[in-house]
Amino acid sequence: MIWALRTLLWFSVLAVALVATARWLPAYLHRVQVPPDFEDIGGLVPMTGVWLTAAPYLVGDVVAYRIGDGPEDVSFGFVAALPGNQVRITGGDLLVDGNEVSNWHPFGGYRGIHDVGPLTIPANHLYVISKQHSHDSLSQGAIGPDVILGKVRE
Amino acid sequence: MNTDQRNTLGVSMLVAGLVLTLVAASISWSAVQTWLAVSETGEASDQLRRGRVADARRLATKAASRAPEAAAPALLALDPTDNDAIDRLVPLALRADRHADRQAVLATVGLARMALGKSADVELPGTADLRLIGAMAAARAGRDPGKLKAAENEEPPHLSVLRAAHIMLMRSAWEAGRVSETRMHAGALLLLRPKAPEAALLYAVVGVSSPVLGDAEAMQLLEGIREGKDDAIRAIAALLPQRRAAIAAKWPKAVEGMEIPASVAPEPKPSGAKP
Repeated sequence: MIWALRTLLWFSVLAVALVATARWLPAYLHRVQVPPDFEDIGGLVPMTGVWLTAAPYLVGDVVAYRIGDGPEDVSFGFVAALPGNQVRITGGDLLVDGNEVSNWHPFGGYRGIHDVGPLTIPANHLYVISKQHSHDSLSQGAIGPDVILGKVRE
Repeated sequence: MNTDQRNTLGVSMLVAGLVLTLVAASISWSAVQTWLAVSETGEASDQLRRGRVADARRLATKAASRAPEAAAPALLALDPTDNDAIDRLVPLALRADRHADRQAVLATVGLARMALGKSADVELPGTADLRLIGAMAAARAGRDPGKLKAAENEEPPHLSVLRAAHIMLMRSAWEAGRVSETRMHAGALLLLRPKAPEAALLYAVVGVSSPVLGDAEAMQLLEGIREGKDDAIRAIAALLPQRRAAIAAKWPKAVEGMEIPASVAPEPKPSGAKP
């Protein structure tokens, strides 16, 4: 009888380990490569891999997202606004709920127009910015859950 | 333990093993179906992003048949002109485990019903979706939609509702000649999707209605409109009497039948604005 219980215990432990691995491991093994010409965020070295982790996202986090199909279409940006935040551009500066983003990140104006918005960031979306603005929300709009890959781990 | 007891235990363990095998097979089958549904839903999203609506709907319908309780494929598969399909989403919202799924389905139902000219008739208390749907209903009824001011601790709106609200309220404000509101909604849409096909028009509306942009730069923005350029320029001229003289100089037909103000204010200096 004891051997049956012991076998059952071992199988239970194995099942729990399998479920935990299937549930948590993918989040820790998610890795993308920084594109060759990427210079928008300091600390991210082109052609090297970075580990990603899943939500929740906070303002100031660096997130990876893919707009396109190829590996070179991966881009990175700082989270400037979260769902429900209001963004607007006033006087050439990006304001999130009335606070200037240039306080913590350089911002280069919006194609010459100095007063746009406000826009409420929709559910599940992020407003991200990067140095060159070539692939951030200024050029792509609010980044949706279907293209967000994850948060860059410290 | 005697032989009979051992036999009984052996048979019991065999039955338990069979039951567990069946359970495992069922879980595996369900997992495979879920994985296929997730994969097809992702592919449907990609197709939708590329503008291939029919392909997206076909893939999403397959995914929805594999995972009938999942909200995402059902929403992607929805034909917004099919009233029965819209009503079939309501039970899905009631069965949804996740609060976010329930809200997303109900918001879609409300929006789709409004698009068909019916009452939204959904319960979304404490959400921006409800406030925006109310504003759209007011605009459609010819009433003042009021300011789009967010309430405290309000749940953020869903993309489709937010976009539809800004489009409808921009049209309503444009038709009523309310320049600042038109500009605000155009700006919000531009921030939301700067690469949308209509972005050049929105950019022109935001720029031309800006008091700091000179006529020369404003006309350059109008030049950049690609689709429906003549109609768009005429509509902008109708909205902005102060730009009519400049528009008339370049597109005389666009201001035909419109009054051009006699005294056009001197061109403001573009204080720091670069085209």
